[in-house]
Amino acid sequence: MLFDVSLFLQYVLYGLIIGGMYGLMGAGLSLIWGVMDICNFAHGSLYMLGAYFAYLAFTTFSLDPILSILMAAAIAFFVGILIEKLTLLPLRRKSREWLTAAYISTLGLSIVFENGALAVWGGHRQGVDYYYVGILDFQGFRISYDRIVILAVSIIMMAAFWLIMERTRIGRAIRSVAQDKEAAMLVGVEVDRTYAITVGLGSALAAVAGGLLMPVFLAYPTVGQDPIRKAFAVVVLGGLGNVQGAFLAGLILGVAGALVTGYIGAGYEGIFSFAVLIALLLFRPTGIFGQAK
Amino acid sequence: MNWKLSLTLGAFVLAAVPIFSRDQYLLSVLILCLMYGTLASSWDLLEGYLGQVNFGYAGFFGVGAYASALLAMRAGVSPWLCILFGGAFTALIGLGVGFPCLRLSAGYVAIVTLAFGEIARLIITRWVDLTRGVMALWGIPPFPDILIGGFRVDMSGVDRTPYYYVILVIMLVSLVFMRKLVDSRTGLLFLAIREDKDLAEGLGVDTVRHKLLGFGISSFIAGLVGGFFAHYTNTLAPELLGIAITVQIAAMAVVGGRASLFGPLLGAFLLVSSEEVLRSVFEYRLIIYGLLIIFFLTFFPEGLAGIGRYLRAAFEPSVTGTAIPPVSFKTDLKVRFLNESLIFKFAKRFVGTSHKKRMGSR
Repeated sequence: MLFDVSLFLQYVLYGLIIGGMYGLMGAGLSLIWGVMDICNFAHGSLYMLGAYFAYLAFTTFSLDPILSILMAAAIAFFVGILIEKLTLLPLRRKSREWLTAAYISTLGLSIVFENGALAVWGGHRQGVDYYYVGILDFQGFRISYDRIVILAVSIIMMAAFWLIMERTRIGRAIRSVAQDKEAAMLVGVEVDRTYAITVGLGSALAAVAGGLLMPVFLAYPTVGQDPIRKAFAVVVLGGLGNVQGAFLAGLILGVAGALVTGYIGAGYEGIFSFAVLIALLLFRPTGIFGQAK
Repeated sequence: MNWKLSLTLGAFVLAAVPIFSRDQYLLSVLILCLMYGTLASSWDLLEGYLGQVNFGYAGFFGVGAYASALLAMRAGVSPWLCILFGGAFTALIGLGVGFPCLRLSAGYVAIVTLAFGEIARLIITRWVDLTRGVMALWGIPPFPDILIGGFRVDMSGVDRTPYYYVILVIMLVSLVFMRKLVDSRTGLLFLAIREDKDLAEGLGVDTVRHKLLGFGISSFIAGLVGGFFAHYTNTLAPELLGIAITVQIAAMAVVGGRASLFGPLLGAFLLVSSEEVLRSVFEYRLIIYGLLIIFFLTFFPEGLAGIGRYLRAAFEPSVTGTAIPPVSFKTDLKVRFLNESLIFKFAKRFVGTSHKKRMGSR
């Protein structure tokens, strides 16, 4: 069999698109984990909610796709703040060993969200086939407009997120809390408020990913399960708390996964990403981009 | 009331149930209670005492079930031996999963175990030749009849009473074993690792050995119960390994009270039976389980096991009246009390043990 370059490029491009989503998911998860030490098992549910919100905004209010995704992100931001205020904050105040409790609590939360969505919206797949109809044909190399939008928006979102973290007051507060909570408190950073905004931002990123990929994966209650598993792998690959690393790792994992699916077969890609995750944890738990904190 | 007395009493009450009623429905609910109770307790051994969250617990349970069922079906081995094999096989897998977790913090452990559960479920779903995948594995042989003093016990499953006693014995043996374990020096070292792994290591605790021990025991029990389940229901499907079952087990442990072993058993009885009684409410059962987890963790972190302590503290204030302050529900005091008693027990245990030997084992 001759090596088909165009097919290979298709796989890579598809991988980059999926990888952008993994990157957004991973960046959000990594942010929350890096700042609060919590591995947020409810992160996949925010992806799911993002997909539903974007779908509802797009169809019932016939908003512009990008506007509906932004709206989904805004709602998810507040959902994230609620999660922190209602479940994580009381745990932190009360329990001596709140981290393990927080893992269990977020897992419980994800189950509540998933089955809540099942009760409210039903179990069937909902969604639209296209945000923007049309296919770009470039010398036999075909790509739909949607895919271009997905890739572009995820890169823009990451850039915006990076700007927030580097250039704004709240970004500085988040980074300071991540580095040293007590020291941040001493110089007047409100830790609880920063935590809330951290969870909000992470949730918004997950919702953007969910909204963006709605035409590809649609919206159904368990749609967030695959992205969150990939996000775990991405966080470990990129190094815990390293948000830019997570985005890069997302792209790498996306491309690798698409190649595995393309050349070995569908269904093995899930096992592949878990294998990568466990191998990394065994041999290089700090990720491929150097030291974790 | 110490645990031995309460366990003996509970065992007698449970053992007497079939004498008064052989209602098959009641027995099937009780069998479920005992199964989930054993699983929740051994989940608690790992989570409550060692601080290792296992989010793939249903995976271990399912692997044990499939291992036992397949051995019985393909090799014709007696199911009595098969469930032990299922337990041993799962324990080996547990050691394999525990190994990458040794150096990792709790968050990673949660992820690795979650990943394991998913991998196990995917493999069982895809390996259709062996497991029949989503078509479900059926026709698993029940336990063979046993002879007790010339009396033949019918294990065909028409009457569930023998199965009830089998799981009751499994529950009692594993609970007594785990209780003995956490009361022993090993159990104290478990707690020390949970409280502060680095400090424990600095004191010469062999964290590697103890973590692996915890993983091994917890997975052995999961596999054993899984094997029982396989030969009890005679049918297995890959959904058994899904995260939903793990969440239910975790909910029982949390509601019952973490780090208490008996609490999770209580939690299992409460949740399984209320699920049966309130069928219409439990239409959205997983939502309820999730909310219960969050509610109990937030407002009642000690769970049902804590109620007893709270009541006792209310009725018999300040029992000792000496240097050790009474257990109060103010968290800070409780923390201090726990730490002090732990250090105290530690000091007592460590007196007389050879330091050279301890350092050598590192």
